Amino acid sequence: MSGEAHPGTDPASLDRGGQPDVEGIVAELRAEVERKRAAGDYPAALLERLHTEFHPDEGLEPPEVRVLVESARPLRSTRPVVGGAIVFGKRVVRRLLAWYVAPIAQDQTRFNLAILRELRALERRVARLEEPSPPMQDEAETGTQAPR
Amino acid sequence: MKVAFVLPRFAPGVLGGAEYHFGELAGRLRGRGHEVTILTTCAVDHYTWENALPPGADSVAGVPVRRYPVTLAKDRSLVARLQTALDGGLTLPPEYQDEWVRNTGHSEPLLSAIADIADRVDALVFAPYLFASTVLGARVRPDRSLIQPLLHDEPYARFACVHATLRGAAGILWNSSGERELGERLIPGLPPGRMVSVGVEMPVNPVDPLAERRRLQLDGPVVSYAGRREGAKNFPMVAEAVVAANLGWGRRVTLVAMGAGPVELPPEVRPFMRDLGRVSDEVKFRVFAASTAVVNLSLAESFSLMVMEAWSVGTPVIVHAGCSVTRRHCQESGGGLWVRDVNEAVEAMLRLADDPALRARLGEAGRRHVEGHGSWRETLDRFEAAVPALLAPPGMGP
Repeated sequence: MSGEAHPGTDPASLDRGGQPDVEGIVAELRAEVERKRAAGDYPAALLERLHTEFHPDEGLEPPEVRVLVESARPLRSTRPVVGGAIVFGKRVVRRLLAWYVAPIAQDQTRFNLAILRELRALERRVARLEEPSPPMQDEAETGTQAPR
Repeated sequence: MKVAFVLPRFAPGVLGGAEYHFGELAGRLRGRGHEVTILTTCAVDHYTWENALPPGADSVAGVPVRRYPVTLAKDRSLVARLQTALDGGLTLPPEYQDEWVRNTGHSEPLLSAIADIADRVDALVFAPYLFASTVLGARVRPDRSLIQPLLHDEPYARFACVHATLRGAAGILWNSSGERELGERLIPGLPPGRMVSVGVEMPVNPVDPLAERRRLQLDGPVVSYAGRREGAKNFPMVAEAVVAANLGWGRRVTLVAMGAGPVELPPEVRPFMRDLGRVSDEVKFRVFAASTAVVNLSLAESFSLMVMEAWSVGTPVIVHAGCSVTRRHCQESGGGLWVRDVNEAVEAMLRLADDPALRARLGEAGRRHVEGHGSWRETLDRFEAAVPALLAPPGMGP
């Protein structure tokens, strides 16, 4: 990892017109990051885990996996001793509200499915349009015939 | 010169870059002998837009203020639906963009007041760009209206109604060259503009970084942040980089966070973060001075006072390469580095920590930049020059 000291006289950081050449320093930093990344010097698993934790909205899962909106979440409590009673209380509240919450979650799941189907249909359509067009019939025939 | 500023909300205790800036600007213009009034709504909270203050005349720090009631109650259900679509990256149809704007403190009496005062002042100055007071207010007398948009690269900056208002105004007052570039890229056909920038309050007393480090018991590389600590400002990425530096690079880096906003971060950051909450300007400057770098990775900035304040005490900054405004500040001044991801952020932090000479030179370049471009004297001079350059005297307009 980066424990190296960079002297202040590093060529990339020399003054340019009276001010530090920050463009040069940034380019040097980027090159260093690319080199270390290519060499596998970075803890990829840690960085991926941190990214998921710090940016939970940028899920890496495909949307198909997130179509279902569950109306019931796992119940837990970190409180010692009274934790069991708290979880029991939450379970009672959840059961009492299920008639109200569950239909909302079902509506949302149906909407998610519908929109995802449309999205995937559009994706297929765009892919078809972007395919190279097959040669015309007579062109193909011309291409296979010997010149007369 | 007579100027009426039109702001969506303005009252003591209202936190926000625009409110802070225009309060200071108005007070300092009065100090130079100009006649300044602030027209605003009775709202204080920009989420509810409820009329929290009485209508009528008031005075805030010596600046005359006139408040008008919000006359369109916010349709919370509609705005929640529109906001979800916007946050999800969708584009609203133009009529719903209008609806979104109308739900940001629309006040009919404020529009009437703008019409009444327009011919009695040299300029109506509207800010920021996205609220009803500006989008609808600057259409009342566009020939007398200057807009200081404080533009961010965000969905609202693409609203058709926003573009129409900005195009119709007599002139635009820009805060930074990066903001101007963004505006010209997003909204072709803008009226003439002038750079006025934002004044930066330099610390009153000299700051001793070592004393502050001792007081806060800080050791090793320290990066700091002061502002709204939320996803919209990309604060989680700052915290993520600090955790990565500690756990992945094996270097002890401490984050000192100051400001408002719920800090909803994974608990992993706790051992490496000092949360000071809201602090006075004096404490903020002291912490900045004691820091290896001030890190602002927000992508939504029209100026970034945080960057200027860091430079005012000679501390370099690290900003996001994707924010044209803060990146441009660094390119112009030589006072900071810009990064694209966490790896680059950590490398930049450690580079500044390991190279005190480089850190000092970047900090000094930033300080010179603030002294040259960011002082209040310069800002007021530019404002005074911009108004007559962009507007004809009252009664001489088209």
